[in-house]
Amino acid sequence: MKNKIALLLLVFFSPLLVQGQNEIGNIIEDIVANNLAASGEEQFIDMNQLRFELEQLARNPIQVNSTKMDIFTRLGVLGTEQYNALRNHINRYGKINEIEELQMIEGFDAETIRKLRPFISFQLFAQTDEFKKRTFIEETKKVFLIHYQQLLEKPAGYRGAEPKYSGNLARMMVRFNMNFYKKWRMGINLEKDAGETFGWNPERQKLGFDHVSAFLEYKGNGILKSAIVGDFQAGFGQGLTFWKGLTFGKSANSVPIRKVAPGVRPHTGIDEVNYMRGLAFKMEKGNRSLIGFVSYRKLDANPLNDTIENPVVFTSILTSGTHRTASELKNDKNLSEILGGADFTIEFGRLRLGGSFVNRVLGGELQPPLNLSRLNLFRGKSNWVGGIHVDYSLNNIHLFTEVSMSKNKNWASLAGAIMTLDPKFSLSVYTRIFQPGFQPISSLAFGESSKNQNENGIYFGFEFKPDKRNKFTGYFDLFSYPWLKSRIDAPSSGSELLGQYVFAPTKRWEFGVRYRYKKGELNETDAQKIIKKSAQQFRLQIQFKPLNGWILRSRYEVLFLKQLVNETGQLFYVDAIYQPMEKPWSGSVRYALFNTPDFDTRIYAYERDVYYTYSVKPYFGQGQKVYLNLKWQFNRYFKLIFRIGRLVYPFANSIGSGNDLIAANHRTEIKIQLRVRW
Amino acid sequence: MKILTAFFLLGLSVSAYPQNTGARSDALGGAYLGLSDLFSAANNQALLPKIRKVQAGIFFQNRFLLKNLNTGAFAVALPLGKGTSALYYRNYGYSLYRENQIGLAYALPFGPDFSMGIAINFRSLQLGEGLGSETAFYPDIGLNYQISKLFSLGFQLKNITLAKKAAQLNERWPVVGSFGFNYMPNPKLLLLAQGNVFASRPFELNAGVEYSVSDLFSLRMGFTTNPSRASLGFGIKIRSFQIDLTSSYQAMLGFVPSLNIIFINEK
Repeated sequence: MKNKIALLLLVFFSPLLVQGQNEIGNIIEDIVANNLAASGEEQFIDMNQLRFELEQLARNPIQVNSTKMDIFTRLGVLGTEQYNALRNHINRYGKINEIEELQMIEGFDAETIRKLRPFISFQLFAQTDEFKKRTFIEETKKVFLIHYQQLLEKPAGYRGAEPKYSGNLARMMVRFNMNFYKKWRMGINLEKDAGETFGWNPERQKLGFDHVSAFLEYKGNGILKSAIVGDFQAGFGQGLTFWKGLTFGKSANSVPIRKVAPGVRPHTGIDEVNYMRGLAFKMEKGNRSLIGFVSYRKLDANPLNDTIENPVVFTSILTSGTHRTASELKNDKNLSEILGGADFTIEFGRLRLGGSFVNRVLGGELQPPLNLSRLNLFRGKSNWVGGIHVDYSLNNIHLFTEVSMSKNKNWASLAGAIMTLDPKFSLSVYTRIFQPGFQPISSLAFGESSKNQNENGIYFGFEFKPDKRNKFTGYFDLFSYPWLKSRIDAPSSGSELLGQYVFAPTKRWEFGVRYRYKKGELNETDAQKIIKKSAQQFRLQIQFKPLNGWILRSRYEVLFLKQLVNETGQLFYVDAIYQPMEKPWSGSVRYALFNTPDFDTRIYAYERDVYYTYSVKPYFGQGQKVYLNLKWQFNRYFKLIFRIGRLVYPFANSIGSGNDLIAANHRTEIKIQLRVRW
Repeated sequence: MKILTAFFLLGLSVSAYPQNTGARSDALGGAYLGLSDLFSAANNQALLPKIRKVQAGIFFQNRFLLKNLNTGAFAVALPLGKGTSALYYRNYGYSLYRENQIGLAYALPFGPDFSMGIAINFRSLQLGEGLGSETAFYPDIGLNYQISKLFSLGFQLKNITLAKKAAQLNERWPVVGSFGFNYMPNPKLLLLAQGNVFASRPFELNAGVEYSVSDLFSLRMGFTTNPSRASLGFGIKIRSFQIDLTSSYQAMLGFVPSLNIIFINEK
């Protein structure tokens, strides 16, 4: 009873006491960090987009009674069983009108409600204008950020009389976002990577930052829900027909694998590749919604013949986004791309049916080198992908499927179910068949490899929470590649198994164990055959909160790699994080020791970083790493963020290779940011 | 102890025979230690005492849709005193390579939580084209311990005498030690996991979930490692008949469908 009263008090007064800007900021950082820490390592996730989404959600909270709440399962804020308990509660007792009602739902504790609070709204309040206004002013309207970062050691590419890199060591970024007239928002992103020129570049007829991105969005309440001019991203269904932007792959959050499509949204991240430029809109009337976009952009591409002035045949599209060296500059924005797409979705109660279509026309011809493993890659100028997606929810079972076809009449399909079979146990099953000949334009459906091509598989994920202290999660994925892949010169197969157990005996202590086992196949060039490859990974983690605002964390991870020779990699680190609720200071520090024989045995770990720079970094070689982050809100508007990180290889004479070679055994990087919010 | 030492040290090859019998355990990733049905007779005998009425059933499995890789089985269980006895027959292969197995099992409960079973197997290997046939006898032993209403543990050793497939060959019938549990968080949900240690093969993990949509219909899924397999299946009860249908999938070799029909005398 005491707990309930305390909880009630907390929930009641939290908006007034702690739910200030800082608190929302902290919650967002927590959610982003959790997602990053849980996600599979090799995949690139633009966390800035996620951060921005959450900020927008805080501004336009989701109706707690709507089925859109399932987005929080994907974000790890709600467990699948909590989401289902919420749905069941609504079905049984009617709509939820007040936040106090949430704590009566099974599995909703104070921490969950704290995390959910900024992003949800309630039936009764939502109708009154005053509440809307209140949620609106909780968040600031304008954010301006300057970012500067550089290495303290000068790599080879910057040295000599004629350095290979055209620009200086600094990476700089300027961002500005603002909301105005309630329904409008805009953003500008300017960026210069290290090694890129800044200032007037006569050859390229370019002034200032290498990458410029901007958008203007209108958000309406009528039929027109959203209209965007400028840079945007889009995703439909489960991402099989089309998805450009943020998405998640396999992770320790193993059950909620169903994607919640964003439709169209502004491009706010710093990703220089995965976005579109043009016009986009979303219209909604009753149970129908229509989304459309057109985009015209210049991409970087590798020409077939380097010597031609204006090439028309290209071997590949480049995705690094860097323009530092002469050859990179030569390929800068040399291929135009026109994209047009639309999605129509209709809802009949528990059934949601949609169809989408995207067409792409390139300004030049794409002709990848013709060999067996590349046989099925897209060739030519124009391509289209069309598909249908279906969602159906029963009480505790959620079914989804998508089927897509590309212009060459090859197809891909997926189907899955997410089931809460018991309040303590949820399960997901997912199968996919992506034909080798399927040629996506930009597909990011859930699967093993990053491209939705040449892959069949079946996936099981489970989550078991016998009580509040214990949590087991895991998945098993079995996949095969019916055609050749890069570095595997035969049809092949593999599987992956992950199990994780987290034990939190008290609020202060948390212990975690994770085991991962992955099998696959690989070319062995010397022996001229294909060999089996397997990796086993054990992780132990302890987290302790000695005082309010403090987190101490330590992890040990070991990787056993079995291919032609057997190798072992190890990583150990200690983190101290200081993140008080209402102090102007916060910070974190890490000391890491690692020992791996090579890059193959690298071990990934999430690193805390400055704003808009989220990173999961590989640790390899024999060395140590230290970093320090400091954030200081020195008045109501200004925040100063500083980071220094130093990597040391005591037994090496140099670090890196080629243009990035540093002739010392250490690598030091500093980052400084100034953020203004008003 | 000697047996156990020998068990881990001997480098023996293993037959292509699947370790479990029955479409239900097939659907649960091959996990059978905590699974109580008629085919416990060939799987974990210790669970037989849960059968208190006469049952009889047949099982059919085809591997990778190849016509020469069929398994057929048949079993009868009969309560006898406090315990339950069972007879089973299993057949695998085709005219050039055929394995037969006849087993007689008996299991007894020792108190409300503990039960133990033993089976005597008679096995033969027949090779075509005049290569002849060989026979062998060996026992299996199984234990089951119900820790709580929700949770039970199982343990089993197969071929504890290390019987050979043929006297002149150094190849034995599968020597397997298995340990596993089953957990029922609610009456509709059954979770099973089991680890198998083989004398001559890497460790194998089986895990599965069975969800009873109603008393008459249940859905199942599971997976196996080494080699990796995934499986889906369902069971349906029509009057006195329990019918289970499963499809397993191995990434390189393809599908393994299996079916069993069990007659349960409910009078």
